[in-house]
Amino acid sequence: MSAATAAEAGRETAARRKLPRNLVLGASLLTAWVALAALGPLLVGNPSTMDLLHSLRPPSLAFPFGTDNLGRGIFTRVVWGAHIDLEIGLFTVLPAFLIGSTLGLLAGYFGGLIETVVMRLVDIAVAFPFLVIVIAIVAVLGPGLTNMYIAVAMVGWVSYARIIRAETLLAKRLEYAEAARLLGLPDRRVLLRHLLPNVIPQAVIYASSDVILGIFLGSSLGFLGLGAQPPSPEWGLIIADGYSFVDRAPWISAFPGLAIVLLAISFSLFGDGLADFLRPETRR
Amino acid sequence: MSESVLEIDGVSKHFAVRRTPLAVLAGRPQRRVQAVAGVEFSIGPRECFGLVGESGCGKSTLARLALGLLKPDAGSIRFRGRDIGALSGNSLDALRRGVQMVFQDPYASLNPRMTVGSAIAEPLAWHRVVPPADVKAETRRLLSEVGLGPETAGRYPRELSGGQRQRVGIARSLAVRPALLVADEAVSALDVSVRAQVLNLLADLGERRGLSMLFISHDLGVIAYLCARVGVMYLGHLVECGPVAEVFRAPAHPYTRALIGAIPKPDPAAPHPARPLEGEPPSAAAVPEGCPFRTRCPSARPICTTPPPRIAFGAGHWAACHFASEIRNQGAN
Repeated sequence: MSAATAAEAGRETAARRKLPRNLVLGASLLTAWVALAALGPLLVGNPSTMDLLHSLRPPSLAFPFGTDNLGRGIFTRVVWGAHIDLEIGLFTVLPAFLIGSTLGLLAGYFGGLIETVVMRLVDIAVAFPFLVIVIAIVAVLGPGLTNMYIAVAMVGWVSYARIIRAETLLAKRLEYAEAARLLGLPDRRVLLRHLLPNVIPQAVIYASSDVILGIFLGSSLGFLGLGAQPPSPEWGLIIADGYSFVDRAPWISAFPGLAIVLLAISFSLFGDGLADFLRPETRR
Repeated sequence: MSESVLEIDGVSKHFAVRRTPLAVLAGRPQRRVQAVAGVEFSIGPRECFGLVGESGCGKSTLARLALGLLKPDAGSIRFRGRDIGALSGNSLDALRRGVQMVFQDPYASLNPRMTVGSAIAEPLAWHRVVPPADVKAETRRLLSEVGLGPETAGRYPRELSGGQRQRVGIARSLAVRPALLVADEAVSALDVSVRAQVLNLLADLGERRGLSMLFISHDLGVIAYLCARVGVMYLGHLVECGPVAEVFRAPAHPYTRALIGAIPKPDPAAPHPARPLEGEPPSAAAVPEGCPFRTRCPSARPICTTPPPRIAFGAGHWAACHFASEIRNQGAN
């Protein structure tokens, strides 16, 4: 049997060495997006340059995605938008991830007053519909991307706090955590070295799909006029711009919409692959 | 006996059963589960003491008490003459490091994201057991002491078999140079062939390092192999205690007798034990008055509703039963 377990262990490591296909595909697509966001603006022109002689032109060689009512090239604007929307994805998720994971870890490990306070705050935040409370906060702080990031961080951390607290409650009762305490290691070391690496994958996996929601949210708020402000080529804003011309010039809204969907698919593939990679036991 | 390494002196531990809000409103009394009741024994230097009993009899609670993870409600636990209940903070940590645990589940007892080498090196470095420059060498030495090659240091637990993991766990607990190892069902999760190897390793280590051991198991055979003395627990009570050979030759408590009778014999012609025990042990929230075993005892009589006396037979062998002498004279079945 010991040979059998050794063989099984060997098989598992071999499986781990081979990266999941969707992770490779998702990571490649995301790399392409990041490259586009970083280099694209250098290659295409100014996204705000108007050319009223060429307004509402359908896609052609000169304007691959057509032009809007002010004669701005949609292709140019969508390329610039990649930068803004990736930034939205990052800044809607990162603060929530950091705040939520930290509070969840502390609440799960120490319990008591910290846990009560954190979890009651979570209850309050989840009692409101997410979009409604974000819009309310943005309305108070004023429209704009920075205020939107603040609003999302104020509400978004609760998901991470719940995930990490639950994982920590589970992990701290496992024998390896107990062993670390018995060996006389202090709490902060048990937390950072033994619990954190074992609980954080769940939050990372969640974050990779939360990015998509963040980008959707950024676009939705842009569309509603609460997020990025004109003339920013944020995708949601471009879609909003094209809204009045959707019967005559559907390309204005269609191409940024397509870009959002493609970016979402890239993150989705990446997230699924990451889950397979970090939790190999679910693949068996 | 010279000074004991661990003295468990009249230790009791209860756990409160959580009441529903409705029960609190109705004024129903708080129910308490008696996990350990007035247990008393001591472990000498280099001695391996076995603790046997069914699941739920309080063995693991006793282990956690001995490790200082739980505080006793009554009685005291002394490690090298110092009451671990009276200490706290740094002095408790320092003392507690002298008592280490070998865990039951070799799959849960190692951090899956740490290599074997760093798991063993961590306590070495943290407590400066050896100078920083020697941590690597000491890690390799500990690995070889438990029969693993130095290349194991770079492996992750998932790459190892159950027996190998258990060896890593043992090496890790030895890193802080404990005087007492508490092994709670340390070989129960292992295959029979691997179990024998790990038992031999523990016996070896006990001898080489002069370790004392509290070996907890539901398997009398394993205890007979490894331990010099044995204590038998039933529903939180220690019902019999004595040298392994004595207890096996002439068990004086009907429960011990039944446990020994239940060990499968490899001889098909061997007579079956007279009467195997029937039923489940009563709930620990409702321990019978008097002798806790009387509800399942084949020799129970009316007097058993009074607390049984502790009858000693010399050589440290005693049993808590009204009829201990009678039962002892029947010999093992």
